[in-house]
Amino acid sequence: MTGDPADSSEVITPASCTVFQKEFAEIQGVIDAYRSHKRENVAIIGLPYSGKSTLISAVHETYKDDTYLVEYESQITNKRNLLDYRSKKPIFLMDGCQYLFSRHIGGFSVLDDFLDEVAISNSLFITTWNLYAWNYLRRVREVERIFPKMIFIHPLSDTEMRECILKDYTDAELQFIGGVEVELPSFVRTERHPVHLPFKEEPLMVPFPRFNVDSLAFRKRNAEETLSDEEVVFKKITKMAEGNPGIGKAIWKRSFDYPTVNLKDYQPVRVNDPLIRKDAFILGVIAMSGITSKEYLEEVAALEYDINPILYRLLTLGIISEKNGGYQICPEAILGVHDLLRSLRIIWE
Amino acid sequence: MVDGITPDTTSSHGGLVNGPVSEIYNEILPLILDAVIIFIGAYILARVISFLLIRLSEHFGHARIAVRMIVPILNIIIYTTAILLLLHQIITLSTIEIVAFSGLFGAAIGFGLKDVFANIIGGVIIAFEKPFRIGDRITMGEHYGEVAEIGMLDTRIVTPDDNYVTIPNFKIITQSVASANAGLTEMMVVIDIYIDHSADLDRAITIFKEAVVTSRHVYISDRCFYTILTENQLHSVRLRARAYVWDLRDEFECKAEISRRTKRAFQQEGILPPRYYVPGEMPELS
Repeated sequence: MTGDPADSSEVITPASCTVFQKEFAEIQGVIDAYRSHKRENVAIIGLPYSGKSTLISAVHETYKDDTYLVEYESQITNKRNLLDYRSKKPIFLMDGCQYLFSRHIGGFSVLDDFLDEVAISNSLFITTWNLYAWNYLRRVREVERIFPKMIFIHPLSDTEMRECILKDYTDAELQFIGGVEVELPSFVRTERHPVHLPFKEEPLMVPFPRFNVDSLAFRKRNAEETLSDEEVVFKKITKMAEGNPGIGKAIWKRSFDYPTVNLKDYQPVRVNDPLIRKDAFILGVIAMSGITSKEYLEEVAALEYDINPILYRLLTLGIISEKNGGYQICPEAILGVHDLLRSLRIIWE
Repeated sequence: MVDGITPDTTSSHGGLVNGPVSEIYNEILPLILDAVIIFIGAYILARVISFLLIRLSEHFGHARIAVRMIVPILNIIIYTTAILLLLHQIITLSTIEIVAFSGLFGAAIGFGLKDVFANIIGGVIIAFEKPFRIGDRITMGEHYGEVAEIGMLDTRIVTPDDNYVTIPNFKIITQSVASANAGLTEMMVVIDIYIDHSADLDRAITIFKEAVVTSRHVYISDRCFYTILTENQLHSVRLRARAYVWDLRDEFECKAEISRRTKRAFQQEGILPPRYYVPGEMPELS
């Protein structure tokens, strides 16, 4: 492994990780430096569904003999689970480090032990962190001092998004993509807004027409660049997903109805109803953690409020979904949730 | 009446009666009517714009106070325009008349309208110097509360007890005003917790710190940091947290929430509240 980290074109990457060549090259550089006795622990940071796990799996695949991979998928509440990472291999890859702390009183002991051990260890630690959890821990635990090398996952380009989405399809399936029917979004779309009438208690949902500015820009660009239908689809998906592969895949799945990709009917999930502080806070905790159990959220609420109505509301708004007894943000809602939580300062920078 | 001849109202006996009446009817009444219409129009315009801007500002999250800053300035512009319009309707003065009018005007301000003009000047200072803004938490004299409205003559604040207090604007010149947040939505809160001298101080500080950083109301950034201070007192050890609440409206809820959660955790960990020591008695240290 001798590739120059600065030149990603020369870097050897596993097939599963071609879209993260730049990040992969940076990690290779860190590993090479570690072999030259310069240790710099790494934090790979990204939004939910941004591909952190794919990247660290690719690193593990490449350096199988030297690395030990630990994947956390739920909150680690005692040190015994944490100590699983002990191994004789010199490099530890730890995916999902946001699960090492809980946002309640007494919820930092595992993380504190972990940070202590990382600080005194001679091993190299390459870790992945949810962006929100990382920013939070920077403020309350100064984690950047333990993980000075921060690698932020970059948003994918159109071609990278295409590559990322289509790798799940066989060649035979790919044939129909060329003839895909692209239905462009219309100029006018309707949005339903509540109207309060004096003689009616409940608001009436009245559809209001709204000019679709995006469609204009999209049509103009499409006309100028004379893109193929396939390119237009992936350009649009990349734009709507802001380069996040997980969101892009979710949009693809929702718009793809064999043999048509219909982006016209796709409506991004927006949080139109103002959430009260505690609802938004719980949403922020879910966004920060990944898959979150109800028991954990009850601990976060700490008898201050009932968690059930909040979960019900977030589920009915289509912002979160339930999976194997845990709750997670729907990929399509991530960007809307991000804007909301930023404006409410639930997530810090 | 002969055709082509209009009646002379001033030379007849009726002229003494009809002259002032018709003057009132033809000149003063329309002026009063104009004045009323102009001021009602200005008032409605100012209220509508204030209402819309304040409603709109709620959608701006932590930038809402910046949007609300425009309200008092717009009010001043609207009312000043209304006054100028009215003056333009009433008088067109030569330079000598302006000087004479200014003298009389100054005397009127000096004697009768002193307080009114002091309030107006105070309003202008508040609008342009911005010692506080709509939405700020201020302490002015004995009153503490959120600034709800900055008018031409007075400032209205809503106290934590939901009292609506009207403070004349001239007090801004004569009194010191403390703004807890200075135009920002975040503001520092101070939370005190007292523990017994025999309690495990390190554990108590850890719990208190975690209660602060895990609060749903607390915001931490480069500028908005938090600290935990301790002070030995005669019968207790005081733990004091200084942290920023993300929205000043949650000031009291933030304090209460952190205090409640800390107290529950202290109870679970056996950290005792202070007790009264008889002079000479030494507390048992843990």
